[in-house]
Amino acid sequence: MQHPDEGTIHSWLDGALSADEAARVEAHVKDCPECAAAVAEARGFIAASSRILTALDNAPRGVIPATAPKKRVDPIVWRIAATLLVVAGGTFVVLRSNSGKSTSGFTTY
Amino acid sequence: MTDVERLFRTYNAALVRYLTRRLGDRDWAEEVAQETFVRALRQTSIQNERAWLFAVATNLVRDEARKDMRRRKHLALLAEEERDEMVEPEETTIERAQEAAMARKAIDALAERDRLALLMREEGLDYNEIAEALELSPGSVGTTLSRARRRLVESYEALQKSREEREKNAAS
Repeated sequence: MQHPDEGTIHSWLDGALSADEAARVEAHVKDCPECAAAVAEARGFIAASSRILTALDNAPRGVIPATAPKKRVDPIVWRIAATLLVVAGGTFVVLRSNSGKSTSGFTTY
Repeated sequence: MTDVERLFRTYNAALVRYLTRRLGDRDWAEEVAQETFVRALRQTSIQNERAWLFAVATNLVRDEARKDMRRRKHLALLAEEERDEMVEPEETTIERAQEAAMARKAIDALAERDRLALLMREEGLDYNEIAEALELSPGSVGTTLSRARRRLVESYEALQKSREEREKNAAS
C-alpha cells in the first residue's frame, strides 16, 4: 500500500473509512514509522482543534440588543434639580416664618 | 410529542452550539436555530434530519444582507465591550476573553467550507452528513477536515506566539 495521505489518515481516525480500507491503513501504519508519525500529528490536530473550538462556546448574549438602551440622565441634571429644590424649600420656609411673625404681631395688638 | 418537538429536543443543543461557534453570538445563534425549526415545520418529510437542519441553518447564516447589518452592530458593540473591559480588568476574564478572541480569529481565517465542515464534525455529523449539508463529495470530507484542523491549530499557535512575544516585550 502507498502511504495514506493526510485526508485518509483523518478519515481513518474519524471512523469514516470502510472496514477494508481501515484495515489496510492500520496495517500500513503499524509498519511505517513515517506514517505513524503522521497519525500522531493528526491526532494532535484533532484534539487541539476541539480544544480551540470550545473557547468559542462562551459567546456573549445580547451583543445585538433587542431594544435601544435606556437613556441615562446626566448626573449634572440631578445636581441642578437638587439645588433648585433646596433653594425653593428655603425660600418657602423664610416667607412662611416672616408671615407667621406679622400675623402673631397683629393678634397681639 | 410532535415531530418538530422531537427534532428540537434532539438537535437544538448541537445546532445552537454550532451556530454560536460560527457567529460568536448566542442570541443570534438561538434565533437562527429557531428559524431553522420553523422551516422544518413546513416540510412534509425530511430524509436525513441532522444534515437537513445543519444545511438550512448554514444557508440562513449565509443571508448576506442580514449578516452584514448584524455584523456592523456586532462589531460596534464588541468595541464598546472591549472599552468597558479595559476600565475594570479582571485577570481570569481577560485571559478567557483573549483565548476566545484568538480562537475566533483562527476560525475566521479558515475558508468558509473548511470552517463549516469542521464545526459540523465537532457536533458529531458523520462524513456523509457533512457532504450532504455542504454539497461536497463524501470522499473530499477527509481532506477538507485535515486541512481545516491543521490551519486552525497553526494559526491559533501563531497568534499565541505573537501574544507571548508582546507580553515579553512589555515586561522587559
